[in-house]
Amino acid sequence: MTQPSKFRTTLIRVLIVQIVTIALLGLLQAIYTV
Amino acid sequence: MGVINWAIVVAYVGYVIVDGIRKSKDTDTVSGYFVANRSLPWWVVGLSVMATQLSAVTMIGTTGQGATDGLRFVQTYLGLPIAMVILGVTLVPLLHGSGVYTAYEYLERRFDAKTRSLTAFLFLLSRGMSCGTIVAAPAVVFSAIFGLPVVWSVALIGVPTVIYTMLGGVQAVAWADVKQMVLIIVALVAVMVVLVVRMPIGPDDALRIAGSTGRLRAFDFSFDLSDTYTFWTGMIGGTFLMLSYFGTDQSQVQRFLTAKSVEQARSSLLMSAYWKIPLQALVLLVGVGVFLYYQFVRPPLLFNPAQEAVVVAEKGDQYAALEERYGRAFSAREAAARSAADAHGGPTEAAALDAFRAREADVQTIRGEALDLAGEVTGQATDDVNYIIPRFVLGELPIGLAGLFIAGVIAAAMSSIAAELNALATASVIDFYRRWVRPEASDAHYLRISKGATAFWGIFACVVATYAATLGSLIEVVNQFGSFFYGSILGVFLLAMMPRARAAGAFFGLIAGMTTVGFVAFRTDVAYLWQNLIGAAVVFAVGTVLSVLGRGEAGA
Repeated sequence: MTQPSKFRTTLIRVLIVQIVTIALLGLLQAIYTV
Repeated sequence: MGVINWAIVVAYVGYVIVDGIRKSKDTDTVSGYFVANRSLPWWVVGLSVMATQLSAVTMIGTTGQGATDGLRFVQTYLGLPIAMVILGVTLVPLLHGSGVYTAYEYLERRFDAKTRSLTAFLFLLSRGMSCGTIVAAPAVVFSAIFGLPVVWSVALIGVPTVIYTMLGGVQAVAWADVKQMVLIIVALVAVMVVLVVRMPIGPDDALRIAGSTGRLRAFDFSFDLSDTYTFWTGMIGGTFLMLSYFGTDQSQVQRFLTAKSVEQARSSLLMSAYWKIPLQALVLLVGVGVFLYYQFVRPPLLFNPAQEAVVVAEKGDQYAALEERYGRAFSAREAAARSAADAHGGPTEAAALDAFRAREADVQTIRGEALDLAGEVTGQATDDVNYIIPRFVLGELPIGLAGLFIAGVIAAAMSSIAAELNALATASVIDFYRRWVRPEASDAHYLRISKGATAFWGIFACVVATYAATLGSLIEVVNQFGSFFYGSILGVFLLAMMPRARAAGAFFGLIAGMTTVGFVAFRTDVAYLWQNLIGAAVVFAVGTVLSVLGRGEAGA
């Protein structure tokens, strides 16, 4: 991960998981919060 | 609680002690005792990191918060994944690669002995006291729920933890954490399944009702420095809190120092990066589920049974009148909830949800009056929220599952306490005893002292926990003081990564950072998550300026 490309891959993976989690919780909020 | 439930709890506690000790290998050296000879695989370390962070407060307090306040607490963890990636390329290789036992030991190599001693002392001061509160939180709840004296519930949680931590060292702690984490997740999922199965309405209707009360509002995108629960506070302030906690707090640093290699240490932190937010969402959703369940089954007016007994004894008539009003308000709310569940689409649904919200407000008004009455009678601020889940578990879950959940709460408490005791003993022995008292002694001598230090901190934590109610304000002051230097210590480590930074800059920068955060905490209403960023930034700025000036003088 100290190599720039490996670090970038890890960062992108973590960000994707983060975005998906936020999107799912956001969707729950958007659909059901009046 | 029933014989079967107690049997599960006792079997679990016995198993943890026996297995914790059985799993401890090579603990006849200081390196084996404190860092497992850097031999543990990433998944063991990863689960240990998660178990250390997840305390009994998460199991009973955060689930309770989900029931009363919904999902918004999840925002606090938004910075965690980013922090883990940053740590993976900064402090993890620095600390693991340098072969230290404590994070503070590294600061002497990089700066000087006084910076090391000050940071280690601050860690011992705040963590020593907070370890007592980690024992006290579940012990006080168990004491009220089971009618046990506090000292017995402290012993139930504290004694087995001290035994396996003292005898087995970090290996026992890490391997116990693995089982404890599994038990915690199984318990949470089991409760969630029971809630879904027993809910008298469908999931979509249930979510509409929860949503109408704002409990599914996970994110607030407003930018308000004084609000802890916003997207930006969690994402930016939270990143700095997590950098400080996972990167500079010995109770977490010691977890990744046990990993086989730097690469495995990074992978262990990434486990939290991927799973912490979903896990936290599950914890809060369990709370939301309990809130929904209690729309159809009448909950107690006061969840804390000990407080309820005092109120009944001293203001019985007033409480009975409240109970009567509460019964009527509950029936009206239940009817409104069923109508809302049946109404689908258009103005009918909107009107039904409005009616439900009005009935929910009526119920909350009466609950508020009962809580005020309890506060008035007992003279203490009510912590009723911590009793919502335990009362639900013991009153509503089938036999066996209640025992499983209580064992899960004990597991969560033990895993956090064990890591703290282990880290407190390490900092005491490595940063003080070996550094200042006996620099030259045999490994066997240090090992004996280490086991003694673990026992000392365990007893200290149990004593603090037993007198937590009396020591309440003192513990609060120490915890608040602890938050002053959390970000500031991160600032010192940031300086450590700058080749030009000098010892004087780090030491006086640390003092400047703590003073600034103290001022911000007392004189402004900036949310605590931002204090970590402020502390780190001030230390870094002051430290850099002093280092540059110092170089100028040295050169002159």
